[in-house]
Amino acid sequence: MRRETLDEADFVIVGTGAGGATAARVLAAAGHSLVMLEEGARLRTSERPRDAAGALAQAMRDGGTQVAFGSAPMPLLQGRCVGGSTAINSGIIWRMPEDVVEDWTTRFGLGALVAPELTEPIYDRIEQELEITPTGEDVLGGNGHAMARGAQALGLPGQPMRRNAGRCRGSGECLQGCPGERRQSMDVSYVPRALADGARLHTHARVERVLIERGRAVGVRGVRLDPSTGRPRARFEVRARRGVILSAGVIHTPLILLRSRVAGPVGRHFQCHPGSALLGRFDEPIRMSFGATQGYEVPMRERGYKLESLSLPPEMLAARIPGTGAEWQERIASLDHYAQWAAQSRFEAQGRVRLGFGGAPWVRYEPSARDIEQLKEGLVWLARMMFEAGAREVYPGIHHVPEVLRGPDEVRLLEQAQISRADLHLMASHLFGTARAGADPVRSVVGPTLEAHSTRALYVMDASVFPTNLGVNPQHSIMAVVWRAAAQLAAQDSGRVARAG
Amino acid sequence: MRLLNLERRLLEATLAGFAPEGAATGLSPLPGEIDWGATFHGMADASNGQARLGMRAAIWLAGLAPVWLERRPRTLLSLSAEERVALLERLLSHRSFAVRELTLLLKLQAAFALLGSATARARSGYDRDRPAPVEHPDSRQRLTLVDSSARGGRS
Repeated sequence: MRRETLDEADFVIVGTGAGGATAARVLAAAGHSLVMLEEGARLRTSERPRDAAGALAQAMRDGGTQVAFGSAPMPLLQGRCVGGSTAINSGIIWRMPEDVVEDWTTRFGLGALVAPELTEPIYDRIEQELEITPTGEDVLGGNGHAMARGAQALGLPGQPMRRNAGRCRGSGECLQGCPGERRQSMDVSYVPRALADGARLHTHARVERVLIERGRAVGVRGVRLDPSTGRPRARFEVRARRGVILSAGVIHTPLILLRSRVAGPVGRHFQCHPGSALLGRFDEPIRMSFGATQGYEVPMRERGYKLESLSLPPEMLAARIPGTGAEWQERIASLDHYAQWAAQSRFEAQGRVRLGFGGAPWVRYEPSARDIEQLKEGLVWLARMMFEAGAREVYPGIHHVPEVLRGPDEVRLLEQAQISRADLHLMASHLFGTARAGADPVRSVVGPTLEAHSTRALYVMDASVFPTNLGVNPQHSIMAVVWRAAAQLAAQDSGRVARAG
Repeated sequence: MRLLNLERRLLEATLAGFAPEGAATGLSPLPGEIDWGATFHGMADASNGQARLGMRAAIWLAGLAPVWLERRPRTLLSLSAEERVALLERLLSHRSFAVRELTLLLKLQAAFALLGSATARARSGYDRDRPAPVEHPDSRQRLTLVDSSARGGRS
């Protein structure tokens, strides 16, 4: 394979998701030259497939088939395109909860990174720039409205979600890419803004290791991929005069660090928010085809979970409906009569990411019995809400529980069931903690400025640095933490007060 | 991923087995309407090596289920439509997580192939009476909170 020096800049940023794009937005606005490297493609909205199979194949890592192994494999969903997971998620926005700020400050010495007086102005600014508002009632859709009915009937603290889609028109196609580019994912917001400020972007560039000379990061090395086949085409290097910023995500950032022999608990303390969903069949039409993909939520964080409406494309919805043959065919002939809601849970379990065969990731993760019991409680609430909202049947999709619950009295069958990990279909899209931040170099990989303890000018700026999971959707916290660190870096590097933008 | 001829036949028979043609009611494919194998190849090409291995294992697991599940010396190809439906139902509720998940992977591919067809999707009702998107910026308002003390999105 031929080798080329692709580019050179003050900073090289690996990854263009919530972390990398925010770092690029801050550093480019501060006048630094920078290069963004992205393994996936830059997808034009008009060219993104509208069918589920095409959307998964084009925008998600491994087409959505990446899994964590344990007693039962669990899919780990991540974007792999410009914008990263923000280009496929529902744009749900939550600030970092106060108890997490306190925990990180006292246990990990991260007050200088997350103190409210430092981050509140950053949250305000991001919310203004990314058009963050509560989901309007006009685009809540039948799925969201039904959930609101169920929550209100049971007196649960429901609310429309705050999202970075202030001009949402309810196309229900967040996964496939918002058709009107109204969701302010990184590919249509901070990446273009950084490019306008002089940053350069190279796509189909997979970084494998950091170049380290005399204890200092000076660039990265990787392979360029053929856009049509995805196969390696050439080796490349990018040199960084002032620093290397890794924002490749919670699975691939630690792999790059491990290949680069960076010291510390790299790959350890992997955490996530696994979730599971229930379907309800209603007599009246729900029409999942219209409305925000996710618009309504019931935060029950003190119980360890959050309940969310979650619409699906028809192919994925049909696959979740029980039955085969005539029974299944009868059910999928009225796909406009279904609602789907999910429980996302803050699990206590910790896993590990390692380099596997051929350099591929190997993720090990095993939820605890308490985790499973906590999630089951959330699913029981969902089933109750479904019937309160008017569902005729509820499909739990849980082994050892009847595949159809036909009334509120039958919810006890779910409540009383002894459920193990292998009885559930779990999925996780919020990942954390494989290069955790902290003041103690023995227990953490990067310090409060997000610079590696062991390597100068090497920074990690994505959810890998989060020492714990959050219990809420992490995008906003990632952006704020990275903004804070990037602004400090810009100020430190230029010797002036950080005033990015 | 290239499949052997037998694997391709087993795959297509299994996927079609989830939604046989000619059902009296419900969403029934028309003759020749669905290309059952096309979605599989698209998914396999985008998947990692472990997933491709699982997809291939799923084909053999279902195709040879009459042998290992029912002790009948035949493949799924020689079963009637009703027998295939019953077999797939048993696999989906099998006590082994691996068997259930691999069969669900096949069902997912069947759903992708079936609903990936514009004509079948139209008959599913998913897009029925889909309202035209409207934009009324002034109408955006919060729903009333049941519990006003509940933590909002800014906690």
